[in-house]
Amino acid sequence: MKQRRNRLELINEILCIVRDKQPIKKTPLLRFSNLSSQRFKDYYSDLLTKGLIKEEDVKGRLHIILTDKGYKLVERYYQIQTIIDEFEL
Amino acid sequence: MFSFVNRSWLLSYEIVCAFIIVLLCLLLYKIVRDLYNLSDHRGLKLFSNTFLFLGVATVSRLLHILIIREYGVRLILEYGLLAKSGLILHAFFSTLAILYLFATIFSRKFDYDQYLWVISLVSVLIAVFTSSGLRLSFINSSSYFLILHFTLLLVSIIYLLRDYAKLNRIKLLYLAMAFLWVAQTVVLYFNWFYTLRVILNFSIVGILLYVLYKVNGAKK
Repeated sequence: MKQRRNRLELINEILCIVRDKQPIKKTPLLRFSNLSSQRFKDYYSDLLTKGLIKEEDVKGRLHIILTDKGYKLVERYYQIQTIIDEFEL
Repeated sequence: MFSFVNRSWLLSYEIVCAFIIVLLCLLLYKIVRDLYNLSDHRGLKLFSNTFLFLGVATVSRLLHILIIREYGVRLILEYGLLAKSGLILHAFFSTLAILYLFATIFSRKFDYDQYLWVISLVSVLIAVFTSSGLRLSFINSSSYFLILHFTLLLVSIIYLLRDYAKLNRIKLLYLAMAFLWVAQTVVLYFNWFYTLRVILNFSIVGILLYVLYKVNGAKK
């Protein structure tokens, strides 16, 4: 059985989806992330608050794109996860 | 072993070591803090703070050593708290550093890191208010720190060694860091072997270099 994804892993997966498919709308993002709508809602607002993603109005429709901070996190995710595992943080 | 080396040389040696320790601590703090700012992972925050306070404690330790060298223990009694400031700052920040190291080891179980400052401050206040001006500087009252540091070290050892089969390099690294830090404090407070202080400094530099290598090596 596949191990349950941790919080950081989930955040990275959502950010990777946004990066690869941006500008993406909220409903497809929910579908691709494989999360329940409640969990997705929590993560989504968290990502917005932390400035990892931002919403943009394109022709009256809400699209999600990655911020610079979001790009940095995706870029350094491997280093962060390795340090957390290596030092058992 | 180092009898041929005079005290001035050893002092210069210690200043250089302290400079390297502070530099490495700040570098590690900066790298790990940047990663924390991106990820908001609690363990990274505790880990980065450990290095920050190790660095600050090293600066205050050096300040104390220079004050002792400049004024001597007798004058410390006359100048009171001002002259003891290096030692008081060292006591505060080294307690904080070891508390953060302890919190890092227990980061998956421990969620009270907001009280670490309070514990450290209370320990310093107890030590300051119970140290009489007639006593030899701070040493009598500093036993509070040593008891606290040794208790933390003992709890960490028991926790890390409770499952001997799972003992790995990182657990040994944490143990070595805690042990060396406590040993360094003991040696400083009791003004023991000057050469031992230098050896301890080198061991700490070695551990910090290893952590830096690991942290940098984690890049893809």
